[in-house]
Amino acid sequence: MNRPAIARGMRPNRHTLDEDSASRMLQGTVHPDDAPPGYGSVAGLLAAASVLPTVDEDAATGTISAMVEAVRGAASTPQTPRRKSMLSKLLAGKALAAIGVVALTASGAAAATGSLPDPVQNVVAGAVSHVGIDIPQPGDEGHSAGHRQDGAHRPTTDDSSTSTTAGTDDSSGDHGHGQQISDIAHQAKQDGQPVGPTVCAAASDGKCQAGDDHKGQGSGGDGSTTSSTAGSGSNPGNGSQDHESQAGADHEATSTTVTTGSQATGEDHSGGRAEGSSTSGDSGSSGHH
Amino acid sequence: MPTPATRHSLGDQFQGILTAAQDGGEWAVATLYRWLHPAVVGYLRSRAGDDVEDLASETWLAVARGLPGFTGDETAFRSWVFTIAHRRLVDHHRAKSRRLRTRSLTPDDGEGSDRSEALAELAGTDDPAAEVVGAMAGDEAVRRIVALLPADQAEIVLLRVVAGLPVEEVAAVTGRRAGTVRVLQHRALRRLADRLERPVDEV
Repeated sequence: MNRPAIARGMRPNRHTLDEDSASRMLQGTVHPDDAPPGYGSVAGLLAAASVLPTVDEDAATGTISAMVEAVRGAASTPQTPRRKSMLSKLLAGKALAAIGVVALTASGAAAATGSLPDPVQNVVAGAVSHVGIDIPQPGDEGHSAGHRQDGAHRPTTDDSSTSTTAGTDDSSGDHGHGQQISDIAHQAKQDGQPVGPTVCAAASDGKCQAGDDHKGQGSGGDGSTTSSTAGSGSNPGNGSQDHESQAGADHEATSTTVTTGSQATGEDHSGGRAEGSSTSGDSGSSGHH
Repeated sequence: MPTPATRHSLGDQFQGILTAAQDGGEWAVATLYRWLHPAVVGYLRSRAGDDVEDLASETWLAVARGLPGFTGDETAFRSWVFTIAHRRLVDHHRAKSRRLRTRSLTPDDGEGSDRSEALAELAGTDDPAAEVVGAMAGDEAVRRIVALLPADQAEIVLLRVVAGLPVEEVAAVTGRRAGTVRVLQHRALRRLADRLERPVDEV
């Protein structure tokens, strides 16, 4: 235990020192004669060290004056409220920034999906069209089929020969096919015909067998929709694995869906995946089972 | 029963003095200063050398700036003052070390010289115990304590003896646990006893 101390040239103290004696010596109140055996010198040294120096009056006067000024200056400018104010300002700024980001994101998403109220949607669509962003306008179903996300305006076509264009190997794919499919869907609904098979057939150039004793209707299907998938990927389930129609497999993957019913938001060059609804690409449709 | 005002205590008068000092009362500020300034100087002189008065002034100005926001009793106030003094001392030594590193040092420069001189003085004493019992000046005793003990032990001993802080407050000032402080102070006393009672030829 004491070997390291001995190695350093120290001699282990032969006397023990209890806690109380140590505490009293450290208070400088133990006379050397009253110290524990072996600690008389220590008690004397500590008692001498406890004798404090006298105050230099000249230095004291100047220091006290400076202290008074400092106290009054500090009292006039409280530190704690200022720190709280800075902290609250910082937190308020961050909170406002977060709220702004969330609001902008939500508004942008709502505007892009056409979910805003009609007047607002109209204003937003008009505003962002100046910067080359195309978002649907109220009552403008399928209108965006003639537009691309890159802002290039595509005139819509009234060519009714949709079925003939579907399936052509047109890499440019710029024929407003989504608009055509949308028109077909509208027409089919007005004629009382099943919308899904009609649209599917038009989109897949007759290869789609929607409505022909299919097992796998889309998960969101209402009997009139056919699970069709547009794009180049495989359809990951949702009950449409048995019969699925993929459209636009060899086209640019600008995601767009065309829904059946009265609302069609299809853009050309669709590559997106619609579950339980008819999805079209403007060309290159292929159906497989 | 009122606590008597002693060298290390203002007793029941403390809170009234503190409140007056926080309001900028000069007499109260002066009372606090005269109460603890000797101990502050006694603590700083252990390692500050010729810069004791400057460090003491810096300490008291820092105390004055923080005084309006201080809350606590007498022990807490004492601990707070010595915490500031301790930090000033640490900063002083860091600055001093940087200055020393910028020039070539000899083994006898700086604190090593003080330690050697203190040991030499002790070695030349026929009866060290008799000497320390005698009328030794306080600063001389502090200097010997610093020379004979490692820095951490000397610091704790001086905070206990000179500043008059209890173990818990010393722990707070130095950033150690109370148990660690007790161990260090016990080792310090044993080391002092070994050194002071060692025969002359062993020093």
